[in-house]
Parts: sequence; C-alpha cells; structure tokens
Amino acid sequence: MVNLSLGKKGKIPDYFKSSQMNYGIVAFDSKLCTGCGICVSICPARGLTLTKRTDEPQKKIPALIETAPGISLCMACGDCSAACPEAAISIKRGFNAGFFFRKLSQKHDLTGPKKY
Amino acid sequence: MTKKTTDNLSPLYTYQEGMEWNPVEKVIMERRSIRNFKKKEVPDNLIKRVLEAGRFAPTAGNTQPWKFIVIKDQALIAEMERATVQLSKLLMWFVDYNRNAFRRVFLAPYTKFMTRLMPNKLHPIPFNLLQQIAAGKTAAYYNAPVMILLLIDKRGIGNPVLDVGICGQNMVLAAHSLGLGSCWIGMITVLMMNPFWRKKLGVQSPYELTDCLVLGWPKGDYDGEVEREVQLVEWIGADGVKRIERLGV
Ligand SMILES: Cc1cc2nc3c(=O)[nH]c(=O)nc-3n(C[C@H](O)[C@H](O)[C@H](O)COP(=O)(O)O)c2cc1C
Repeated sequence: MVNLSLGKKGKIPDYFKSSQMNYGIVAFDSKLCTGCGICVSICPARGLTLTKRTDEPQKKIPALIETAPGISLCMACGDCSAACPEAAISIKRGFNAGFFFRKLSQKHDLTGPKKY
Repeated sequence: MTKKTTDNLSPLYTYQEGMEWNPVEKVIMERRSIRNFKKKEVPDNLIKRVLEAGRFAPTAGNTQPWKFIVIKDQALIAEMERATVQLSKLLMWFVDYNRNAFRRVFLAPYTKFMTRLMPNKLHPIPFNLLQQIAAGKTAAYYNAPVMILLLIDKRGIGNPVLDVGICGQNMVLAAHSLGLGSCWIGMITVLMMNPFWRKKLGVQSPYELTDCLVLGWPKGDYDGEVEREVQLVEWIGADGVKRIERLGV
C-alpha cells in the first residue's frame, strides 16, 4: 500500500488545481436520460446544471458544473444516481484530494453494496 | 416502483451466502441523506419514536452523554438559516482564496496554514459547502420541518462525541424505516461559533453541539443503493497470515 512521504503529509493541496484534487465524476447516459432534472434539484453540492443536448437541441441533459478547469463540486455521494428514475447516472470517479488529504485505504473504483 | 418492495426479504437472524438483504440491512443500504422535504407536519409521537431509537444506543460505560432538543418552530429554523448564511459569508471572506488574483496570491498561504490547523473543518468538502451556502446556492438546513439537536455532554467517558454519533445514526435508521427522510447537518458548527446562538439554543457547558439532524417527509423518492469506494481490508486470518482483500467487488 502507498504511504505518504513526509513532504506530502505536510502539504495542503490547492483546492482549485486539478493536478492536486480529484473531484468526483458522474456520467449521464444520454440514451436513458429524459432531462427531468431531479438530479439537479437534489445534488447536495448544487454541482449540476441542465444543458442543451448536442443531438436534440430541444431536450436537456445534466452536466457537472466546473468551478475551475477540471474542478467540479462533486464528492461522489451518489444521491443523483439513487434518485434517477431512469437509472441513467453512474459515478465514474470518487473524490480524492492530494497530499495531506489523500485517502490511502480506498481505491478509485466504486461498487454497489454486495450480498456476501 | 420495485425498489420499495419488501417482499422476498430474508428473515432476521438467519444467514445464507448471497441471500437477499433482511429488513434492517435494506434500510441501511438504501438510506440516503434527504435534502428536500414536504411542508407536511411530522406528528410529535413519530418524532418521539425516532428519539427512542437514540435513547437505546450503546454508549461507553452506559453514560448516555447527551441531551436532545427538538425544534419544530419554522420561524426559528428560518432565522437560524439566515444567521448561518451570514456567518458563512464572514468566514468565507477570511479564507476564500479563489475569488480573484489578489486573493489567490496573498490569501492562499494563509488559508493553507489555517487548513493545517483545522484540517477537518477546512477539508475541501465542507469548504465547498460553506462557499455554496455563503453564495446562497444551497441551504444549510434545507427548510426541514423538524430539527433534532444532539448535544454532547462533555462529561461522558472515553469519547462522548462518538457515543452521540452512534445515537444519531440509530435515529436516522429508525426514521428511514418509518418512511421519514433525514440528513445529518454538520454546518450547525458555524452557527455555534456565535455565542448569541449558543445561549439562545441553550448549548452551554457541559454541553456542546457539533452536528444535528433534520427530519421530514421526503419530497420525491431518493432512497436507493449507490456505489461506494472499494475498500482494501486487511485481514489477519485464523492461521495468522496477513492478507489484503478488496471489499465490494
Ligand atoms: C457528521 C455528518 C455531518 C454532515 N453534515 C452535512 C451538512 O452539513 N450538509 C449536508 O448537506 N450533508 C451533510 N451530511 C450528509 C453527507 O453529505 C452524506 O451522508 C454523504 O454525502 C453521503 O450521502 P448519503 O447519506 O446520501 O449516503 C453529513 C453527514 C454526516 C455523517
């Protein structure tokens, strides 16, 4: 398992630099999404917005708001995917900051609860 | 909707490999933090039933180091919301280094130093939430009809904060099993920085308040399974051999 060097233990990441922060990434399946906007209304971070679809300009699809290049407000809580009536939302990457805040015991891959 | 059916659930107190969730596990797996509430009132007796689940939580040495305050007064909750927004704005003024170039150069080192002093409070997630609250983009208490303040009695043994956390989660699970929605709110810490509010809510020594719960009837159907990070679990097996296993895949 990776351990943090002394330098990394002491260093606080810059919250607005994508090289130092991994914010969550969510993907919206454009085939399933109806553009109802439930996810936008429940996102706890208010990190989603409805945008015009490229294929069908009348319809809308949610997207992550970028507060700086590569930086979103997503912490990968999964509330949007739990609420989505069409099951069109999946979380592609979890939240992990760099340096001092880096989580060591977790991996970036995400799975649902497993019935052991 | 299929996700609310309770048929086919496994009975309690049995285990077979790969079996369905039992009702308790189902509530645990499908509980989501609910942040949209109906205006509909929550009956006092239902709130009492939720509080009972907290009263029977395990505590170190059975000290029960807590005190509960239930707030149903909407005017008070709205006032707390306004006060929290104001305090968030004030705090953000001191630490938000991303607003302009001047702040980026001069404030960033200071903010990082403060983050080192208070790493949990200024972690990027609460930092972002505080910023969103200060900007009026999200609410701190989500206009909930009921608030339960979980006061920590500092005279408890061991680690009373942990005891109160267990107590609160008992309440959350009971609430969900009864159809109520709930959300933990850590942002009340901000309000508790103001002595006026500590006095007004009766949070005085030996009590302290860091987190509270909001409850209400959920507006929409948000409970459901989500994906979570795979955990690397260290096992020290019966044979004394150490291995690392990925949990959840
Ligand atoms: C101690 C504690 C404090 C929390 N404080 C807040 C808060 O201030 N605001 C908020 O929206 N959510 C708060 N949450 C809820 C978490 O954001 C939420 O549990 C997390 O995103 C996982 O989502 P889930 O509960 O839907 O599974 C808090 C949770 C805990 C355990």
